[in-house]
Amino acid sequence: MKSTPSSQMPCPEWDDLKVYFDGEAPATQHGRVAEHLESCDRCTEEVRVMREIASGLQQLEGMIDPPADLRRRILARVKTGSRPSSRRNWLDFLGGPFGATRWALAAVTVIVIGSTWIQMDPLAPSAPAGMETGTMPPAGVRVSSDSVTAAKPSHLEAPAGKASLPPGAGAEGAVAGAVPPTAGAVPPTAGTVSPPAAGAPAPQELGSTASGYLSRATDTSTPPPRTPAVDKSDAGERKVAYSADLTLEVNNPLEAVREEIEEHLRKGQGRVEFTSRTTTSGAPGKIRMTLRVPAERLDYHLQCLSRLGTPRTRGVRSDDLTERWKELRAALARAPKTGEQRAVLERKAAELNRRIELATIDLTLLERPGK
Amino acid sequence: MQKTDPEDREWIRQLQRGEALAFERLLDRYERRVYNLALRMLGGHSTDAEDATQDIFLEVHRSLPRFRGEARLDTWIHRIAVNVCLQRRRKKVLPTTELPEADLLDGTEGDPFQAAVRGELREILTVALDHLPPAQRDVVLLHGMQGLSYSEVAEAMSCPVGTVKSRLSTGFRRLRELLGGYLSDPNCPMATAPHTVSTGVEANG
Repeated sequence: MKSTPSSQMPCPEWDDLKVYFDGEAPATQHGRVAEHLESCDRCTEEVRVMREIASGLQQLEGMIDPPADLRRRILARVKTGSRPSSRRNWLDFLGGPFGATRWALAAVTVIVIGSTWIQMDPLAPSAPAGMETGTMPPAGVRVSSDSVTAAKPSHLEAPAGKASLPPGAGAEGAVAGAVPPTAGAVPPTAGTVSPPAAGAPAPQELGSTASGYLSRATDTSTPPPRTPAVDKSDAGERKVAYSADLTLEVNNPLEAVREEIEEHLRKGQGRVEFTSRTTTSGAPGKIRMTLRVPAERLDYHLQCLSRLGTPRTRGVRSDDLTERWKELRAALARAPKTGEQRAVLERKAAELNRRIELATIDLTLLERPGK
Repeated sequence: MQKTDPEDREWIRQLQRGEALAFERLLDRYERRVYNLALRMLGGHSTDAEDATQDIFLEVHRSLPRFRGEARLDTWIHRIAVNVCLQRRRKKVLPTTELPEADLLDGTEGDPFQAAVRGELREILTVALDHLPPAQRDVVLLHGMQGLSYSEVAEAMSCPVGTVKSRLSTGFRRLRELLGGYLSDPNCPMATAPHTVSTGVEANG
């Protein structure tokens, strides 16, 4: 029968108990604490609580799967020693030891691409005006006199569902032929289209206007050619996964905004994957949410969300999964019709599909200070 | 300081020769761990964590020829991971909230942990970790989540063992306070039995 601490040797300091628990105590201290624990319920309870917390922390390790294509991106970078495939920063590129040369190259590139663009697109602005001196538009962004508009992603032009790989798909319709020469991913469209009163807009409405929220997206990766590949079939179509970060400062109570978002997603075929709330007295509250929305409606949802408050940080990125998609498709074509290998491939295909079909929005809602 | 495991030495030689399969094996072993560490250190932002993970493995690849096996491979990779994440944190103000030490559990309506009780373990601990100052959180993650010893954490963080011990103890105690109500819940998935948690151990019992 264990006794209360008062009848035995003094309880160790909490720090010493922790060191004991971690197995880092010197032998003499370890023995002393162990002996104390034999007779102290309270310290035994503390150690048990430590064990529970430690167990919870261990469960966090590896709890979240890395994105399916992360390894491919790592290996690609190791091969080329390049910057992260998802974020190419023009300002970084234009800085550095050869900044002047790079500026010159960039200027020539803009002129060449701009003139080609104008010839190809009768709706394009007459000249790439509006670009301030020293300001380089990110790749994939059209520059006009009054707006900056991201190029339209290819998946918005494809029929719904066509961009995804059906789990278990075989060699039928295998991707072949031309892939747009640009290896980068595609930024979503820009625009400040007011969300419709009900339901979601048709995809073709997305990104139809300029100077919008997404026009300042951080993604600067290279778009596909302005005129898409000649082949309108599956071949050459890029498989792109989109994700966005958005931090909003909101006026209304956080819970009310959260509920509004959940209601909005229910109508818009999206879902809340994760929510956490932190508040403390005297400090503004915060809610973090991870949302999954149909990729073709990412613009729409971001526009709607942005209207719930004042955007503080925002960014959209895209991951080009085309090569991974092709590899999986080829592997499925080669795999036996049944068995573990096929099951694994089909699971990977399904996961890839989900990444392509559902965009991720990491949303942070901040209570406006003083509310 | 722990040396590299003997069974890893040949593998490391293969890595240093640039053998692709050896690097794939390294990714098999560490990709998930490193990604999850980056995710936690960077405030749960998956895009940042993905970019950081790429940076970490690129740095690992570049630095492998200089790895002399004086530390365990785990520790060495974690040191790179910590450095990359700290650099990213310095460059970018992440929208994570550093909260004051006191009054966190005051009130019940807005109490994150009362809300989190209804959630899953991941959410609860993630929320709690978010409330630790970064220096404490990093040490708790490396020790509690990644399983590094005090000396390995010290090596990864480039700080004395005493600092690790102090930060870990303070951070863990803070976690314990934050999770107190949750831990006392008999329905808590972490709890083994209903119990009452005291507010701390007094020095003189």
